[in-house]
Amino acid sequence: MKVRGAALPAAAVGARLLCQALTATWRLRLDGAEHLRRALDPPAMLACWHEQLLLSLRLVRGEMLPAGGAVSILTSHSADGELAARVARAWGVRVTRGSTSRGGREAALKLYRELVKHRSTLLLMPDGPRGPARQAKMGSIVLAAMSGAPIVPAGLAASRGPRLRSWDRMIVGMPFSRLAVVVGEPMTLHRGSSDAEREEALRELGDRLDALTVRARRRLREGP
Amino acid sequence: MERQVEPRAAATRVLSGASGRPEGELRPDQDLVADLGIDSPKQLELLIELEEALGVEITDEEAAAMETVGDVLDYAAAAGA
Repeated sequence: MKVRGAALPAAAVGARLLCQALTATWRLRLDGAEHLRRALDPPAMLACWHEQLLLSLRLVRGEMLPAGGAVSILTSHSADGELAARVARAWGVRVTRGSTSRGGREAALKLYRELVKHRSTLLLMPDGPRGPARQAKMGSIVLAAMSGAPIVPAGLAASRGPRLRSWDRMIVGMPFSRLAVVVGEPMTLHRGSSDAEREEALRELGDRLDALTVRARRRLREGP
Repeated sequence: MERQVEPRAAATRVLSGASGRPEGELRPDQDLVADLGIDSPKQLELLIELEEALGVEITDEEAAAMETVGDVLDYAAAAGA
């Protein structure tokens, strides 16, 4: 169901309170805190698959915003994007609205400004905003190369996390779930990197996000 | 007059870098994608370098309107006017 018009402000407040209450019940187990610290020293990008977006809100609220630096996200111009933007702004997150047409280049240009001019930590979903799921797009790599900001990859998993029937099969962490987050080593590219180096980095980013997600799931099986 | 020439020259350098073509091979009617192979990620790079070269912020509408070499050069000339 799409929320539009006059119902939007109330829906945004409801969604914000629900997210705050839900994420507060999750018990976080974090591996790779030293790499997460690099992501909290902007400009930088913290990357995870889009399916883990809701789980990542625990990191945004519990780790990224308290660190004090600017945190930025991208939302679309759709009704869902407007709802997400209102929730994020209420938390103090900087929101970039962007069209996904033409490969999202205009949106990516705005994200570049967020990194370079506003020195933000960007929460990045390399397979977003519309997939295919778990296929990183080159825009993330170009952003890293042009800005010099590292991509810090992360995998997230919840002990009880059913999935939505959305394109990304988004994971919805249930109340009082255990949340495992494994953060990997930062990836850095330089502006003069070749096409071949960028293709290699794109493949490596996807591989790392998959591997970190597997590690996060494994951590949950190891128990509390 | 000088102020109008320099932005176009800067844009030509950026286009040359993005396409890998010598500046002398660029013509106004060339399509960025079909003729020069500047795909979406390369277009992002082009826009970033154009902003930095011209000292401007390119809007969504302006970026969407840049389809040919001539569009980019005309934008640069207008931005530098």
